[in-house]
Amino acid sequence: MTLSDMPTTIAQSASALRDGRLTSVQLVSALQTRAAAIDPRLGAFTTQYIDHALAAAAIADRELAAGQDRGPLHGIPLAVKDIVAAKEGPTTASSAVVDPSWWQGQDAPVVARLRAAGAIILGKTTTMEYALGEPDSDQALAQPRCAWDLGRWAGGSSSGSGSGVAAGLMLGAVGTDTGGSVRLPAAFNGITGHKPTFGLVPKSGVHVLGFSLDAVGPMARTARDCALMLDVMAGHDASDASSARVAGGGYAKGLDTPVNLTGLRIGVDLAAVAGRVGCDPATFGVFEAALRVFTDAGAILVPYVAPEWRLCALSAAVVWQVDALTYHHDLLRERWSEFGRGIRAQFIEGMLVTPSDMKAADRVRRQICAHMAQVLDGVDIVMSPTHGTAALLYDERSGSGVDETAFTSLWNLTGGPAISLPMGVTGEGLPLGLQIAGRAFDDGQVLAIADAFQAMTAHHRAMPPIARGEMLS
Amino acid sequence: MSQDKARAYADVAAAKLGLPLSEAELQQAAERVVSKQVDFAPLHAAAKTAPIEGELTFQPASAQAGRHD
Repeated sequence: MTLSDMPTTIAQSASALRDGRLTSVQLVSALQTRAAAIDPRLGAFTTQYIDHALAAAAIADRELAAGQDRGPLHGIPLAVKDIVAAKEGPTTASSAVVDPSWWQGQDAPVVARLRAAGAIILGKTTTMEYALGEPDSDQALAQPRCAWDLGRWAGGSSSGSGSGVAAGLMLGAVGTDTGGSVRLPAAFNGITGHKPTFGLVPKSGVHVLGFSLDAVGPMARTARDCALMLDVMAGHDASDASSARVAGGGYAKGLDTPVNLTGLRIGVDLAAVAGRVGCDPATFGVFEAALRVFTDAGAILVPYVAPEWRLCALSAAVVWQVDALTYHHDLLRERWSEFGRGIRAQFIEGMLVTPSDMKAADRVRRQICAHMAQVLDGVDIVMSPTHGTAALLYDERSGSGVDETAFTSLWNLTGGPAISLPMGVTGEGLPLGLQIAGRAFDDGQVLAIADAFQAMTAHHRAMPPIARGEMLS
Repeated sequence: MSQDKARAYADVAAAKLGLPLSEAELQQAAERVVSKQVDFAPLHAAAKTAPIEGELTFQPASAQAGRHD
């Protein structure tokens, strides 16, 4: 089977698995073969569970053949960001500082749910060190590259989940998002990534970056695939104190009835987008074109005043830098020199945050939340680019991560859902992301509007050169 | 703030947390002490408003919607 014959989405693969065109073992084997060819250059995986995955796929095939169908994820190969526990092996967090006893032999609840739904866990994906460091070529660890240009960064911190889905090494992946870490790698790699409402998906068994900012979310090629994953991932779990008491689910079914875009009120702040740090004119033009897709379908643009981006990014960064310092405190004393340069620099940033800085960040966060609650009273949804440019050159990151989160951190501060999906490309052919965000627990609406955009456009179907033409056994 | 004072502040901050920073990292930290005052100025300026409703019991928006424990 060639790549062009191979299903590229979860939804297509689920159909192929049920009509006999494909088995889970064939699918897993094909992706493993592709990973063997590509991943040494791409750096999407920290660890692959090759034998475990094949064994699980064989079981999935037997169950389907016997009429035991666990649902749309049955037999579907997924991967998990390596700050999330899976029972096959230790969680490395792309760090030399690993505590092998942390959740040893256990699945995080979100992984257990995916596994119970029949998903095949292919392995763990690369991240910035503990979701906070930066690419560090001094370390003997996989260096995550953009699937569209290996000279560029995959985005972070769910780096390998983004590049791996884009390159066709997995059909979906679990990411985490504290300031944009699902959405940025989704944008840079031309895939779809959803940051759910804070508390919708349990975070037990997931290393902490920002206690009140972190969200675990699905990354896949389409909004529909994200909905299929979120259906399984969402819902209360008592092991996570911040887990919302909601059932979740029904997101994919919600897409079966096309959303009515006529009269949809889209909040946009074009002046803020144009003036936001690093937002280049090409991105602005592609964003305007994406908005026209919606207005041509009957939606209405409603101007609003966005919070000043630097205040959002600084407020969020103060929270996660101090939270990370707190979470890793004991290990830092004992194993400081083993952490990478980038994450040590971030810990130093946290060390220098004063109590008054923290109070200021907290008060600004409250103001931003109150402001956005008012804004969302007057609109159905808010849109912006996900990032001001396409994937950054590998050494082009700001260091602090603050600039990269100019558009995204707002939604970690408010806790509301936000999705990134492909909206077009730069002159160099690199993908750009559209961010759609909404009210807390309106994840279904965010996904439905993203799905409607993908029904009217083809940007999400583009495959990066590294994935084209690979022969699959 | 002078470089000496910034260095002394960084030394104390690292000692309080028990972080064994290298000499280069302490120097880097001292430089950040100074530049952070500039970086954070907008944050402090924006924070100087009247008290904000719910300030002492803040939770993210999802919690404010009454759908959390």
